[in-house]
Amino acid sequence: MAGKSGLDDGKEFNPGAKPGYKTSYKKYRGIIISVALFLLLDASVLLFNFYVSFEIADDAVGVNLAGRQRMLSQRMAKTLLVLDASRDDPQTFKTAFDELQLSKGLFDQTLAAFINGGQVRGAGKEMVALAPVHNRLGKDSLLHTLELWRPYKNAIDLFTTDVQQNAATENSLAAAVAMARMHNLAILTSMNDLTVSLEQVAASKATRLRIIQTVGISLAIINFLFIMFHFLRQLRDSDRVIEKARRETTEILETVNEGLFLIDKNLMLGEQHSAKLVEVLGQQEFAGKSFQSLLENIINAKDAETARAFIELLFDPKVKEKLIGDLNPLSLVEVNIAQSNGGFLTKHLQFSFARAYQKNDGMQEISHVLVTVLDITEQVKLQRALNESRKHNESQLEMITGLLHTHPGLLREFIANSFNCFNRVNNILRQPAKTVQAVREKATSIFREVHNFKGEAASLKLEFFENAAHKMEDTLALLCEKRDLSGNDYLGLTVQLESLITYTQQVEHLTEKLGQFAVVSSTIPRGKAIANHRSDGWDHLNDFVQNIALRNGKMVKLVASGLSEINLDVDYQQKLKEICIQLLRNAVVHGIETPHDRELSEKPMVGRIDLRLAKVSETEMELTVMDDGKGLDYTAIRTQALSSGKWPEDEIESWTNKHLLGLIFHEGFSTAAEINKDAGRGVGMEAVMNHVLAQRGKISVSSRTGRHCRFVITLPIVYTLNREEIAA
Amino acid sequence: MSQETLQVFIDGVVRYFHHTNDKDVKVGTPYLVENNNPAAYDVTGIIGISGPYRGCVYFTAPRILLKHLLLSIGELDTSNEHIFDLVGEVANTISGNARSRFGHEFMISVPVMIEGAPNQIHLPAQMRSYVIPVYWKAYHAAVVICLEQ
Amino acid sequence: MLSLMIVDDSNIIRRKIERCNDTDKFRVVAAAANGIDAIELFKQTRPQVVTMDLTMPEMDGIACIQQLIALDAGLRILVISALSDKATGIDALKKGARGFLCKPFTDDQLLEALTELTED
Repeated sequence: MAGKSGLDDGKEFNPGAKPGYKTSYKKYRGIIISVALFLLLDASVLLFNFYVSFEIADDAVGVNLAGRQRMLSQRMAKTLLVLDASRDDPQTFKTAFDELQLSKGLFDQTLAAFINGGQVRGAGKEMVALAPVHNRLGKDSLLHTLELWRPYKNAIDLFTTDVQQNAATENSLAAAVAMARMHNLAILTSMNDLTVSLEQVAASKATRLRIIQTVGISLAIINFLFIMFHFLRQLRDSDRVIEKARRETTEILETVNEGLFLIDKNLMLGEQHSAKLVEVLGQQEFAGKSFQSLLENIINAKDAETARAFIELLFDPKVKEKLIGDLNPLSLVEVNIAQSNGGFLTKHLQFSFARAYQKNDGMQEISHVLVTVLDITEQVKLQRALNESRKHNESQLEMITGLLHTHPGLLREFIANSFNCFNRVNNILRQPAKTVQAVREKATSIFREVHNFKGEAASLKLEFFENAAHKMEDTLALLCEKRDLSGNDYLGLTVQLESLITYTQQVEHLTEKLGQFAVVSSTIPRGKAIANHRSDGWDHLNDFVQNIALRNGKMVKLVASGLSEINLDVDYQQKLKEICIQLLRNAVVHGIETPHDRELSEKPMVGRIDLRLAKVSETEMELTVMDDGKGLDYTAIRTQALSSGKWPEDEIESWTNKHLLGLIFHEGFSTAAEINKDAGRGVGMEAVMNHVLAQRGKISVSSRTGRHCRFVITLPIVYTLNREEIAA
Repeated sequence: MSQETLQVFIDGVVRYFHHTNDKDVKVGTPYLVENNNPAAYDVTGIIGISGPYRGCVYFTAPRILLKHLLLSIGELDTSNEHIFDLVGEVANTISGNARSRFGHEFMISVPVMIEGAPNQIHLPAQMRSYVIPVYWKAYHAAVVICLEQ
Repeated sequence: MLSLMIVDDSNIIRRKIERCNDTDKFRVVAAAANGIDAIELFKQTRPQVVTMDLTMPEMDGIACIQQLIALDAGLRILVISALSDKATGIDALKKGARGFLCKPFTDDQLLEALTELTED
């Protein structure tokens, strides 16, 4: 995400709207079917109820009529008996006759209707429809009745015809009465049976209705319970899903490492945000706040306005989200957050914005913008530190190249000495030391080494090395002061040592590279090569001598000659230079007196050092370094030899000056009164001797106390290789 | 490599010894060795590290120290197997400490136990290592750290 | 194949964008060095896609975008500009441009941006 906004990812934040729509019908289908079933059940029970009620009502009519048949049969019997008894009473006869006609008609009609179905006059004179009787008992009794009724009816009809024709009625009436007497009881019983059978049918229907009602209602209740149960379970399930989702969301918001929240079209913050947001932006009420006001508190109003415009772009569906990431004005902002203690905390924040879509009528609609806030203060700081250290390194490099340009030989020597020094320091660290005292002593010893090193660096104006050494001295000074000093306390020092070694190696590497450059440059035409040698080879010796003289409070004039006249091999010339440096250093430090002393000795205040290189033969050359100083101090050498304790006293006493002279080429032998930047290490003359011996050369020293000291070194000449010839 | 980073590894070792009965562990003055001549005692437990720093850290100790250490934690069986286990334990403590301090940006391998000094696979020859001597009772051991950025 | 007009005062950038011709997606039908020329060329060639620099002589990119959108509301404009001022870039998009590509850009980045711009 570095530098680029999260928009590039083109993520679509979709808070679950899409699946919701799809599943909602499916989810509720079960319940819809259940409810429909419930209604259907209820309706059919109701319908059946209606139907059966009507049937029962019809049955009731049948029962009534059957009852009436029973009553009519009795009435007919009764009226026949009345007719029989009232033959002489025409009034009563007439009434009974009419009643007989009515009863007979009604009975006959009803009986026929019961058997074949049909319209019958009901109890209330209205016509009612009667269905044929199907039940077995009823049918039997009806057929039985019909059988009995036919002769009975015929008898009544005969009697009726007689009456209507005013014929004699005695016979026919007697026949009818006989018929009544004979069949009345049987008909009554049959009609009674019919009634009972119809009542039974009705009762059974009522029972069936009750059963069906019970079953229907039970089913409806079961259905209802099912709906309830199902619905509740679904409700509970979905609640659980929602709760789980909510918990997950909360968990996500609690744990993400970024500040997360949504903003709507009006730039208002949503209800939820990640816990990290509080850490990033400080404690405050976020929900319902406008993003604008949130920003205005931490960045300037103009930037906040730009940010608002940018977010508005995100809500414009025409604008391509992927193509505006670079315009995000908050991809890296420095914010100042008010602290409870009144101060401000400066942070570097990275805001990323991503569209969140919601499906609306099948259309993806930008509903929110998801804002991600990342605290990148550490990264920014790190980056800055990196840049600084890079700059620092660059400046170091500049310094190194500058130095290499002026004193390559000195630098090489310095580097070699440095590594020796580092090794000594490391060896001191390496020695096991278990007591506090032993650990403390290390600091003192190392301090001495580092201090020497610092002096040497200073003499060559190698500021980086001088500073590094100085910092190590500071560390060591702290160590010396520390109570209960432990080995662990040296860790910082060791780290400093390591980085100094690494740095020195880099410098060494560079000098080698520059050495190669010198080789390359020597292949260019001869005259130019010589000129180059002069400018970067020998000139600095005078500077060097003047530097040392200045530091040691002396005045010196260097008279050099013949240095560039022999076309020496580059490496060989380098060795020669190193010898010159040692001898010149010795001449200034040990030979030349201070101007004051010289004045007392009636010498010129400015001392003179002669440096001369001369070709003795085609194969040999002679380097002479001579100073007009105080000459070799044999007494000092003897004293130093005694104090070194390396040799027995009486032996030293017997040594001649010549023997004593040999000592100055010994390792670790120095007559300097104190160790300073330019002397006291006692390694320089040994190095000279080693060089000379390695080339199979000779050294001769002559000295006259108070007058001069002269070193004459004879060496073979190693010429520059003629590379063009080799190439040819 | 910063002093703080080194200290984390040193702390790891010290922490291990603090869990033993004889807590008197001392850290000597750290020094440097070139990797072409690595420092090691008899048994060495190495953990490899990658991430912002890369290289290895190892704990190395003479057998006698490890045997004594085993005894001090109540383990009477001082067989080679147990000695290796112990060195692994120390290396694990170092890596655990490093993990808790550096977080997940550092990837730390499981310890590898060897006899003697690590080879070039673990120690790039052109580099230097920090050696931090550890003194426990009369014995010497060391934590060696070689990391490059 | 979509017709493309380049509006940029830099000759180098124009040539760089013209390399889109190498693909089978875009065909450069016009190239203008300022806003006024762009309007004129637009009327003649009616391109479907426009790349637009913001800082130009005569008429700057923002004004040009406004006029072009007035001529064709459905025009797809990609702003190609240096990121000196994000607010100006945002303003250009408010005026009707649909995307922003930051200078300097590679051929791939340009093609990707143009493809994204013309996708629906």
